[in-house]
Amino acid sequence: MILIDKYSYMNNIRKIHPMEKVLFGLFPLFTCIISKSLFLYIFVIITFSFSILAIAKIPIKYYLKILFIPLPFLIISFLAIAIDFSRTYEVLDYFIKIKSLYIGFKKEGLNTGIYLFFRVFASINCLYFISLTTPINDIIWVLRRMKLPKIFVEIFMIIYRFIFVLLDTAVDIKNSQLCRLGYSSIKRGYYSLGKLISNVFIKSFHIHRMLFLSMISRGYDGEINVLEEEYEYSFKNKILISIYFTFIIVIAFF
Amino acid sequence: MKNIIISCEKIHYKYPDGTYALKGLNINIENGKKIGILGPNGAGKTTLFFHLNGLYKPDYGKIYFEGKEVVYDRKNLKYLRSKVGIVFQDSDAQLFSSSVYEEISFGIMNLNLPKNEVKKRIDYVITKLKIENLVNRPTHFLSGGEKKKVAIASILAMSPEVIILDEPLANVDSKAADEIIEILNQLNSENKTIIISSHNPDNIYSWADYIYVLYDGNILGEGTPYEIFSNDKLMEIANVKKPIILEFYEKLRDKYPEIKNKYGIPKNKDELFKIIELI
Repeated sequence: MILIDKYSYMNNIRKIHPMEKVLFGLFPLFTCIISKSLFLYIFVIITFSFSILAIAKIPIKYYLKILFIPLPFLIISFLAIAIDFSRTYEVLDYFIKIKSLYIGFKKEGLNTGIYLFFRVFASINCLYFISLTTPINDIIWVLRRMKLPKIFVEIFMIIYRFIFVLLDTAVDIKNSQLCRLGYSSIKRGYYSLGKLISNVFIKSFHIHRMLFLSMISRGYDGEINVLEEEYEYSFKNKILISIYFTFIIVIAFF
Repeated sequence: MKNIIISCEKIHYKYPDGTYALKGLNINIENGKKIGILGPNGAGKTTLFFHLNGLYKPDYGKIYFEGKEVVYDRKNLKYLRSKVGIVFQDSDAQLFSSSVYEEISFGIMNLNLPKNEVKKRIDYVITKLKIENLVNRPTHFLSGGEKKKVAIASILAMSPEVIILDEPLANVDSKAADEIIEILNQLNSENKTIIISSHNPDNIYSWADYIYVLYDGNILGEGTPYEIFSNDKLMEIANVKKPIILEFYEKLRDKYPEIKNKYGIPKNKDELFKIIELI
């Protein structure tokens, strides 16, 4: 079971209108991308961590764990931007000397690096808020409301559903291979993995055929029409979100 | 004159590789009955079901629904498919949406009904099958039995006259199996025709009104459960085991021949126990 998916269904604010949650996450995200205010980034990081941990009640252990996923990439890009090489030391503000080469930081470079680090961190927090509190089913609902072409929504919907079906199949096959020592050596491991992948592929074809038949047997004629669940906007949330957005704009641009 | 809802007249169906799946099969399904279809794997059960709903078109032979020959055009097929629903064997291959509510709404939305009517029918089906607690969960959190109930609900919402279930009790635990049988009996009491295929002779024996034995693309035998299961030769060819209740009763009858005339043949466990107590 994919944990991030599980939490998206079992968090404290699951029942809140999906459009509110998606907007609440996306607006600060775009503001962070446009704005160059370090204070805004820190403000967004603090408020969103608070929303994820205290309001949505996601366990802190899991939240820290997923925050660490992008950290290596972030550190590498930070170093790549911040570090400078030079043959003379005048251009560098902090440096060490290795033979005839100076390695160090320029002040602007360091500044850009720090800005980048916090901007990315703030954006990740916004995205995590959406993915931890809004189930994919609700996101599909939002995509429909945003008038995305139907075909994309249908593909998205079916892919999401069959990730789990095929994942179950893959886990079953892997276990049955494991209990017959399928992964006992590297060579056997590659062989078994190849078989596993081809079997999942064949299974997906079989399921596709049966799914198509089962849909036709229920009168499918080229378009998936379903009745959507209804959500209610909450006046209180609308006000709170508007206040928060005003804050963000004020911090970002003044 | 019996009230026949679907009948097949000498239907042949050839797979793309040239082998025949159905070989001149005749079947007359009576309205409002509980029909059991028995047969080994590869006998053609699923292929037959796909014919009854118009998914497959027979190469030869004719199919009649409500006395009229089935015409394979858009309008008539749509009517046929709204009246004959199939619950597939593999729920995972039937449920395409990860939202239970949307899944249930799919078939009925294809009937072009007004939205509030759709909503009313969905709510009705959800209360009827007692699956209120499943609606807020995504499909991939459900167990085998729960998925099966959702699949049944999505068919039932279309309010078909005939409901076909392909191996409904496979991959389902015994509590869910009892609940599903209960649902089917309830539907049958509303004069719906229910057709199920099963490998489990015990379930079929106690449940069905009438049984067809399918073997190698043809009907090998038909009759009431007792007629079918007491025919040892038929059972041997079709490779079906005798239901344990019937086997027990026959042993009992060999020992106490007098019970033969006194009591009827037991259909389920309770009736068998009653006979044992009265001996």
